[in-house]
Amino acid sequence: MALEEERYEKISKIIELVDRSEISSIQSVVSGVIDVINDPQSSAKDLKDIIEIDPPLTARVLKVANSAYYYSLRKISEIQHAVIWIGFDVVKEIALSQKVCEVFDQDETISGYSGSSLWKHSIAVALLGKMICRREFGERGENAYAAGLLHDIGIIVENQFLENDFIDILKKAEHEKKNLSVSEYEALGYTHTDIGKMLTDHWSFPEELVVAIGNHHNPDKAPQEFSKFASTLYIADYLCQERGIGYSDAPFCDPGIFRKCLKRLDVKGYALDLIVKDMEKEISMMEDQGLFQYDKAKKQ
Amino acid sequence: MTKRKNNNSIEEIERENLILKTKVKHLTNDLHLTRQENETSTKNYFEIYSDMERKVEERTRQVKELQKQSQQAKKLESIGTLAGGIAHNFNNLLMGIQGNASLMLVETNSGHPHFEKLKTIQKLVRNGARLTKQLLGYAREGQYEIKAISLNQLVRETSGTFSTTRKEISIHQELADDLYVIEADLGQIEQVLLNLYINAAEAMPQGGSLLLKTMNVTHEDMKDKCYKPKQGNYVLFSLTDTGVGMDRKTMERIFEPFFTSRGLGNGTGLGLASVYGTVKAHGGYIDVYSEKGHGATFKIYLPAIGMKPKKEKNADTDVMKGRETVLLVDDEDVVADVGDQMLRKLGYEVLVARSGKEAIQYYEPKRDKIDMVILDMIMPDMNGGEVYDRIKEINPYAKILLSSGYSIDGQAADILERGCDGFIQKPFSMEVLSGRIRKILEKRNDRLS
Repeated sequence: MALEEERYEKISKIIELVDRSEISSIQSVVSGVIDVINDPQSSAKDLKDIIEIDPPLTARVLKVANSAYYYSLRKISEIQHAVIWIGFDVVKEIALSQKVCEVFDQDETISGYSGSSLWKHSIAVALLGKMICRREFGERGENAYAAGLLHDIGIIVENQFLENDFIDILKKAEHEKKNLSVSEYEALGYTHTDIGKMLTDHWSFPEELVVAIGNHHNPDKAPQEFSKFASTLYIADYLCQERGIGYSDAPFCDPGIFRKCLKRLDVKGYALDLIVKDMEKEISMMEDQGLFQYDKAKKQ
Repeated sequence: MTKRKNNNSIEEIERENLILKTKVKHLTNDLHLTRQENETSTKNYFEIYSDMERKVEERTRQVKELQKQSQQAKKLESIGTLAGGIAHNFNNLLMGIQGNASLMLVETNSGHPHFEKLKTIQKLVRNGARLTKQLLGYAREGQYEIKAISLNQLVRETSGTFSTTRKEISIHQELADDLYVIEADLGQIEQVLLNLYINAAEAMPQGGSLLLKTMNVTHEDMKDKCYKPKQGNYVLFSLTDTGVGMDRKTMERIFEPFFTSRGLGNGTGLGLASVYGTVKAHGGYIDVYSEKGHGATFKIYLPAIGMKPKKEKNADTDVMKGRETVLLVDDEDVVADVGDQMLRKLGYEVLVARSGKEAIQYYEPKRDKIDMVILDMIMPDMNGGEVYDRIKEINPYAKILLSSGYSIDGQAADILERGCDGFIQKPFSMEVLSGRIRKILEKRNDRLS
């Protein structure tokens, strides 16, 4: 209990730092889009207002919307046109990913980790999570997409505010062939999942997202009502690491948990194989279109 | 072996079947979702679209409204310009009448049977000039000009005008001698007084009497009111009528716009509301006391500025003569001729220029001889302002008296600010003219020395 409290104190201090940093600048747009996703009453006008308040974001959303990846038949020059030509849901996704990736701009590679490799991983998890929801459950999977993008936000925070510790943690994990979270726990007493959970809770994200991000290494501990969602995120994360798409923070993960999740969701391995194949196609197409280039272009 | 192979193929086929089934499920789910998304996207697009259309409609309506307002403003402006122009020409005509009457008066002794008639002509000219002043006031409407004014003078003027239209009402005045000066917009306060007179007259349809009082008060004298006056000196104007009066309920609503106790069609219901608005805008207060059947008293308190007025001198007293040389510049023949004669009667040497160009031509070679210039403001080709600047170029010490049929505001005020020595409003009498000239000629030129 005392240990819990101590951990809580430590993370709270880091979150105070985050509040005063550039990372918190993504909060309003990201929360705004997540609200639009979760409020059935909200409309494309709300989304448009959220995006257009941020002109650099608007420009990037339009640029992505015009890329060959979205097969737009027309030049899209306004958000409302993007809504009709490539779809409301797609615009939500683009806005979310373009905003979140602003904080993944650390380019230096340390022990296999870089901001861009983590970003590629996050996009892949987001895409896969969403595709599983759509194809297997017949659901829109927009929250799964958001959860995928943000599930490793704790790593970004560590990288920025505990930089020296973080480099040691990365190196230690590499040398001792451990998962990142084990190394984190040994050094700090908590992991990036704890930071992610507290930060998204602090930002008042929907509980489903907070729980899934906090339990993306141990979905079994998620409360019953969020168990399906947390398990989906776990499966997506697991498969992307297994396939080596982007940075892998947990190369030594537990196939036991994975199998339990499959069972819980009643999803077959071969069905997932089909989905992963399509996801990989998408990712390589995005790569061809230069959609991971944001960190190289830098912010204006 | 074969059997096993067959088993294998059956397993393989079953497996393929399974995968195909899964693919069908995936595609069906995806298709279903895509259809839904298509619908929401389209619906959303049209929502944004109609929202923008609404905005366009709203803006269009606003633009139309503004256009209407600006048309109205233009119309009022052009009426104002027209009124100003008429007043200007009319003042020039009055100047001719005034001047000739003045000249005749100088040659007529007071026992002569024509003497009183000439005096009457002068009085009528003054009444005419007051009318044009009101026209000019209308032309000025909308631009507020705050300046120090004497409320007594204003009360005298407005009540004079008013009494000529309502003979059945007798007006009595008790005006304080040393009344403080107030800072206000002349036209607006004039309107306040007239509205109060009209209101009183409407309360006395069979006629009656009106008592107008002014006095100096302080905030101490304004205790026990429902408002809390700011500290300082105030000028009180009170107006008491002997009309029908009103009950408490009416009194409470009397300053509301469109409130009228006189039935529809008998008044706009705006008069007292505008009185209230103007008084408030000037930082003043207003009270009303009345009882049904016992008349009413309105009291207006306006903040005073510290100084007491200079003794109001009756301008029509002495004629002061002189022998200097005066250049009179006016494009109106009537004014130029009568002005020439008036000046000569006063003993001056006179040169007359009938345009700005002529004025410069005359002034340049005789700059040392000409002691003073009387300059008309509004002239074709080169107007008063330009002539003023040219003369000052030739001789920075030149003494110039500005004259105009327009009032002192606007252009004239502009030239005065550049250092002109004085202003005289047409039509002017010989007495006023002589006073202005002496004042300027006897002033030591210390500004440029």
